[in-house]
Amino acid sequence: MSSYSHPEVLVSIDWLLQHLDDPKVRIVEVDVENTAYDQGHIRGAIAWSWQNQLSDQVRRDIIPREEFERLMARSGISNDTTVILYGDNNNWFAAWAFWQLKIYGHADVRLLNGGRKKWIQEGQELTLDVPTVKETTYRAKEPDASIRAFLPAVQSAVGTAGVALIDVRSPQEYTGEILAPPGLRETAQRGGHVPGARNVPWSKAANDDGTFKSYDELKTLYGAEGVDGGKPVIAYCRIGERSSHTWFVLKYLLGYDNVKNYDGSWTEWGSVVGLPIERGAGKAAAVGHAS
Amino acid sequence: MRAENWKKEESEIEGWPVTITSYTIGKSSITEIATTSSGANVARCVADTPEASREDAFSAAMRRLLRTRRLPAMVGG
Repeated sequence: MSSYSHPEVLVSIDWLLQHLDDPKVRIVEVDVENTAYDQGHIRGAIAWSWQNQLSDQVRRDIIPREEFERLMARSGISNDTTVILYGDNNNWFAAWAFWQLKIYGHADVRLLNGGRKKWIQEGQELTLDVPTVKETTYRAKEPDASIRAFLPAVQSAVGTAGVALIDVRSPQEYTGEILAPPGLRETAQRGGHVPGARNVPWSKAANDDGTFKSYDELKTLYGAEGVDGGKPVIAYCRIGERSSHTWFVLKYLLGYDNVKNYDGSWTEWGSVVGLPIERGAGKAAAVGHAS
Repeated sequence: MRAENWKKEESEIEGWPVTITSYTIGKSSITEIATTSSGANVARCVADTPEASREDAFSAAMRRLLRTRRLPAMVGG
């Protein structure tokens, strides 16, 4: 069995247990549900709220560079700290935070394979203690545009064979049967997908315990959809967190160079006037038209 | 402390396949319900007993899933 292209970005529970007291390591929990941390977390871990600390509170965006620097400094993270991210829902927002740390050039950030789910499932030790953190100084790099896609890049990719568009939502969201995961607030005006996008749900990359599938399984999975590293890839979902999971897989586990996460995702594409959409598995249906 | 009594089951609520995970941490009983296809949580409830957290989670999941609209037949699919 082949190994991941960048195994250094993934740590196991055993590795983490050996490094719980390592002063060069900062553990951060990033959940969908912020209350999970309060009921028990990994010793030494701090929590970040994806909504309040990793998202700009005015415009729809990740936090600006200066705010990112403040967050890292307040979290006791220096430029040479090893940051271990983990969270609920198979590391959805931990992967999103990982992507954001890479945008701002943090050198050593890693995901706990299996995240909170595997830690809980294995009955590993939890604590209610919130660690005291000594503030640091942190300098972020200029945002790395090579791993983030904005709307114009996705528009340019539609109708061309040169870029692979991967929709990682559930099949029902992809076909347009529903506008958001069942039970969640609808946040797009239309259902469907970006024309030409292939549907590879994020969950196909994960095992039952939340760990990632093997290199060979992942290579086969994405290869079957024409994603083999031979051309650029843009991944998207509804708001960009599930596609961060897939972006992580393609970029680091399979080692494909040119992979972008489109965090505007379906909430943007499915609501912008005039953009074409495709429903079901069929041909494009224009949403906006001159009339 | 550690999570104990971890249990996972598959079921259906309001026509949606769901995955139900339950466990206890200390004196808290936790039930999480996610829709199976998306993996997104629709309920996460904490109570003093497993029965109470399960009942709360089912009620919350039912309320939220009832609101989910299924859109009409798709073009080409």
